Amino acid sequence: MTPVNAPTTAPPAGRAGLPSEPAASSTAVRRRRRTRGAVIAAVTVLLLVALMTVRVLVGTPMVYADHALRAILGEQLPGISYIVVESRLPAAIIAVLAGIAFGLSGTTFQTLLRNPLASPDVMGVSLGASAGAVIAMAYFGAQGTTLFWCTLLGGTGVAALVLLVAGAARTGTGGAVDNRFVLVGIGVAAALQALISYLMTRVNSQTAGDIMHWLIGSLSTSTWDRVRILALALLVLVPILAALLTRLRILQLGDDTATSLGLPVPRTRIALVLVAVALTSLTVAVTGPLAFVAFLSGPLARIIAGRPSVSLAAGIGALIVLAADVIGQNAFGDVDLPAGVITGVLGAPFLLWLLTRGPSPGEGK
Amino acid sequence: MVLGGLLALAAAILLSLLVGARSVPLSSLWEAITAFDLTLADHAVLQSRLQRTAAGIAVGASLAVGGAAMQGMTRNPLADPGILGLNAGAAAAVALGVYLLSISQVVEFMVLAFAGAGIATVAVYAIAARGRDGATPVKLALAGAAITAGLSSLVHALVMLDQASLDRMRFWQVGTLGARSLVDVALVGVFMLVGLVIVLVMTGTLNALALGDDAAVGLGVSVGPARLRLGAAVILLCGAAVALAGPIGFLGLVVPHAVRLLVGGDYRRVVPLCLLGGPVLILVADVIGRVIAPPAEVQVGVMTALVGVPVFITLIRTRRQVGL
Amino acid sequence: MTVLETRGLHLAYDRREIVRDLSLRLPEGRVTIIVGANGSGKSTLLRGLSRLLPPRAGTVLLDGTDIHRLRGKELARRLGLLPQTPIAPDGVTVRELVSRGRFPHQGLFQQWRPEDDSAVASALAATGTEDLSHRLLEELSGGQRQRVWIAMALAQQTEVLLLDEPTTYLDVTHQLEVLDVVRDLNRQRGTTVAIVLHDLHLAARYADHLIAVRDGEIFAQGTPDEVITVETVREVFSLEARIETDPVTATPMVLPVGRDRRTPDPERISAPERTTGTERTEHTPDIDPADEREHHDQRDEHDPQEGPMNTAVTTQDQFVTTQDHLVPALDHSAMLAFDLRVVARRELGPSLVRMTFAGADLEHFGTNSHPLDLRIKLIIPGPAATADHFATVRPDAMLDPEIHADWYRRWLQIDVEDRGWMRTYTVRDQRAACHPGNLSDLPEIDIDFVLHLEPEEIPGSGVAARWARDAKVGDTISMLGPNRHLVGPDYGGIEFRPGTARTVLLVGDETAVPAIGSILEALPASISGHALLEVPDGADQQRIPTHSGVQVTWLARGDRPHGELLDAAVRELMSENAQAFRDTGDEVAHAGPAGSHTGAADGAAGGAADEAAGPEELEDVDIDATILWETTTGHGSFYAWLAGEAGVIKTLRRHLVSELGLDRKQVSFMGYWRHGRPEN
Repeated sequence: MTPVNAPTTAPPAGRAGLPSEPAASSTAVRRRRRTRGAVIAAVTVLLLVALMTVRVLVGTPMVYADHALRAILGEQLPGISYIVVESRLPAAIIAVLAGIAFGLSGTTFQTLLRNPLASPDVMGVSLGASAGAVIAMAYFGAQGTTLFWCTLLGGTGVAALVLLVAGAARTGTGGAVDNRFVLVGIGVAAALQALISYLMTRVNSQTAGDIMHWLIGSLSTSTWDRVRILALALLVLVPILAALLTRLRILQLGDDTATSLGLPVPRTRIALVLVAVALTSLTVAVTGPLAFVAFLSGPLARIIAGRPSVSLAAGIGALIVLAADVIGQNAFGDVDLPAGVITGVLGAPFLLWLLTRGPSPGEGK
Repeated sequence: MVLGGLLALAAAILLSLLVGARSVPLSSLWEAITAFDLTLADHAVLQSRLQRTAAGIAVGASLAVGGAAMQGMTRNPLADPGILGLNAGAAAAVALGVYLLSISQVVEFMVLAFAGAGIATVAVYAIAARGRDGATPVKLALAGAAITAGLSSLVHALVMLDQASLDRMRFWQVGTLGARSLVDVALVGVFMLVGLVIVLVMTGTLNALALGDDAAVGLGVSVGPARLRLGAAVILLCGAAVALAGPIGFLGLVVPHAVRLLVGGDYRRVVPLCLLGGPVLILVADVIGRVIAPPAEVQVGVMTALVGVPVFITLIRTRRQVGL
Repeated sequence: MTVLETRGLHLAYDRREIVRDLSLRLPEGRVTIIVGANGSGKSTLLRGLSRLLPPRAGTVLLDGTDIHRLRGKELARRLGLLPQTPIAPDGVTVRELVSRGRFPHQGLFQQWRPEDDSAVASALAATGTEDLSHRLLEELSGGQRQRVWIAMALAQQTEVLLLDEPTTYLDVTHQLEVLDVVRDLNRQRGTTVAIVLHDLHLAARYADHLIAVRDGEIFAQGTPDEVITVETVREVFSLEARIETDPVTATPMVLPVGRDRRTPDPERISAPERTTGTERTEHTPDIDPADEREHHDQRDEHDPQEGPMNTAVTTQDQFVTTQDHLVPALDHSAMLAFDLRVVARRELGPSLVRMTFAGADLEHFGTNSHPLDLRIKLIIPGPAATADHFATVRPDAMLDPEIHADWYRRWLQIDVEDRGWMRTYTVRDQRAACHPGNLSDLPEIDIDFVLHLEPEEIPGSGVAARWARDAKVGDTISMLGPNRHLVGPDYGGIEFRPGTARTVLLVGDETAVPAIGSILEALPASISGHALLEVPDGADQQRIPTHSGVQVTWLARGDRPHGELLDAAVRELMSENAQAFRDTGDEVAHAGPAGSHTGAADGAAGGAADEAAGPEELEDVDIDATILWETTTGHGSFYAWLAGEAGVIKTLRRHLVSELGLDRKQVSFMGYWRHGRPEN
């Protein structure tokens, strides 16, 4: 029964062999990171303001800045007030709000499931919302509020189904639940895609055109009502998401570590999914499924900031939607292309450019 | 397992020949084989169903094997023929053909779809292969998703501009096995056969790739050329399938996963069973589509999803291990 | 002090019950280590102790409260667990990750308080990771990363800390480092620690309390001395082993007895000790005990060379009073001496001869891998041999680890006429007993000899070649080679390590033909390139089977100077291909000398590593003016391996590295001998 009689003779815990990094340089690294973050935030905000201004002023007809300002402040300017206040301004605001919502929900999904492909578009949430809308349009000729609620119902219903089927209420080791979730999600997405395609063959040409237009996603039907809905939704959901963000970071460490840190894993996961789904569905209900925004915002923010950043992802999402809308409205002469077409057509080469730009830290895993 | 697969396939073929809006008794099948007479209604029905069944077998086998190969070479469980931009490429080519050339013949659709699928996939690969680390799985998947999103938007834009295009596209988009002659099947079947042989020969390589690039190199696999060959096989298989039947999205994803859940991850078993499982799923789906909403027919693309998803989800839920 | 205990705990996955009716109590403030074979349920037990796995029946109590009745964060403030494979998020810095360990101490909305800062700082300090705190996790090495994870668990500041296999994937140095960190933490903060570990040796060293688990039940628990017994090891690990006292820490040490070898008879082990002095063990010959004494006596009279050694042994005797420091050579010496008999001889060409040797001892020889890289030493007997100078490293001998450590130095002191000459050769084939094609019923090896005969015979020079020339079936010789029970596949000999290279260049003269032949036979099909071999005579060409795409070119020297053809051929080949082979040199800059990985624990045992396997990366070093040697592990797509006459090889290397600008790490070169210099 000899106790361990040799007190540790090892050098102070493992300094040996470490490339000792001078303290000065490590502080410098931190300072550089902070500065970079501030610069990026400032540039994003500036770009957003600039693009919103462009969205309000540019188009047919062009509007002078002072006229626009006066119209916004309540003055009645014939021909201008309506265009600025009732059409362009709500569109710009919805673009920003929708972009934020897509960016946030996309990043949440991608972080939660640790897979860059696991955006709400891929996971069936957007498609669920779309399917809800398509059914409503095909069979009930629904419009406006009914359409909105059907869309919301479709999105959340599909998400609930996926959560239930994937057994998200249990914990699992090594990301088993996450894998199940992703697989069930894409399974359901495929089924919904097929369902939508089928419904498209069952309607007349007129309805098919309407559905197609809706499926692409556009900001052309933006009204103040919709702004209010979306703004209200974001006001409720974003703080909840912010509060859950710490928990998301803990959940990132895996179910085991998260549990041992005292996190109620299943509840947190469901809460995160529900918030992200609510964000997506609400936004899809307002704008239609804008291709690519949710998918692209997170990775893009990561590349720009050099590390994952949820807030920047929201900003990037807003920038993408706004830019797409501005381009769609103005770049093709008298044809107004919906924002959804532009996000897809321009988003793709952009992502390709990012891919070929060369390796960035942490990518390619 | 293989025997069971073969039996299931035989049963599915029989079902596909006999069941439909007009049921054909087994005795008529025997008569048709021994003494074929086109003037008999049953025999005419059988002939058209035979064409349809042949197309189904070809498409099902190609998509399932192509999907398995794609999941193996990208090591991503989400990979399916859609992910390398294949379906989107085909759709874009068809949409352009419809919009610019007003095509309407089946053969024209097929040629354009094949070309579009091939070009899109090659583009995806070329883009992903740029940069120092080559075509890593993540880059392949991202490039594929990017191309897909871009091309779908293009298709959307085209059909928005032209109502006639929309009408043709929405019917092509849903995928069907009908209206394909045996000649058509034989034509694209050649491509499929080449692709199948490549994948079957490379099952060992797929096993090695599943362990990661480094381990694969350690096992003597030249990773780059292997991916290239597999990529070519996938284009042949899925390009031909999409040409023959339109985009049938779910099959290439679900069949390999289902097979893997049943027999484990060894591609030497997965690929042959996909060869059987793909046709079974598509034929059963097609049969159900014929009888589910008479007198209309629900297209096979819809039915594969509706039949496959519950099966898929059941498998996911009953097995503990999920992944590649 | 916090008490974690279980009462009647049953744990199960689905329907499979892993842990049965288990009641245990972790001693407060101590380090408890749980050991057990794979699948014994030790990790499951740890998952049950935290609340990762809800029990099927029974309870886990923390200070008397069922842990499943505590709120998640409340439990997490008192009980921490580091899972075996935590998932590292992308793009997270060390400090951020460690900060996440503070989660249980924070409210619903993040409130970062000064004590959080200090907890993180002290966790970083305790694990020696402060300097890394702003680095990204993915930039760190495995050992550093594991310390960061432990820092995260420390930042949790719990009274009980559970660690699941924290040393997996780490090398010996880092295993010790990690466990030292944990034990310091236990000693300084009084944290109760439970660790699941599969390494019995480390477990015995670091545990205050050891729990051996078998089939989900506690088989034994107590101090390491109580638990680590031959019986426990046999029952828990199904392993036959001897238990010795660790010379460094005096804790029990498990020495596995290999499956395919017999335990030395206890009678024999003690026999020489009882009958003769300690120094006798130095000479225990490989013969029956009956003859032993006579042999010894005879030799003691005729062995003037052994003088200094005897003195050393006597000194040893003064403080080693018991005989139990003698250990079986098989368990202790990485190098063994084997008795071989020539059973076949075949001329491969005018300058090359292949001899097949057989010997019963060979069952203990090898590296448990393909014979590639199996370099051995033959002892060319001297004309005045007096004794077996390798008696203590015969497979069934006993040796004294203290004395054994510097055997080579002592061997060198023996008169060369007596000890003979040591020469290095490549084993071309190794066949177990009863292998089809064997000429005897013993294990056999093939060795190729180069008949580098000198024009006139000088005594003491060219002895090896003359021995090979004259050797005939039935001759015997001693060989020094790796002990298969202690040596793994990483035994270095030929030092052919192409790394990631897909294209190789193999260059050598006749002395390198056996080694290059061995390499070619082992290369996989995915590797291609060229092999250039210069031999004295066209008839020395052989057909070397290879799976690889390497193209073999034979150059017959004839009357030309040694190496001239080789040099020309390499220059021509490289002038066509050098550009393709050259890698970006940016990785060379930080290719420092390889760190020492020898753990302190190896201490005495490490001494046996022979000099051939020695240095990993030598800077252009001329070893005793005869050979020079620089081997590297290849990186990039191209790897050159040159061996043969030192002057030729040196010139070639200068050409490749200095003139063509190849990365130095892509070129390994070995001068086996040098023109105009006597051997040894």
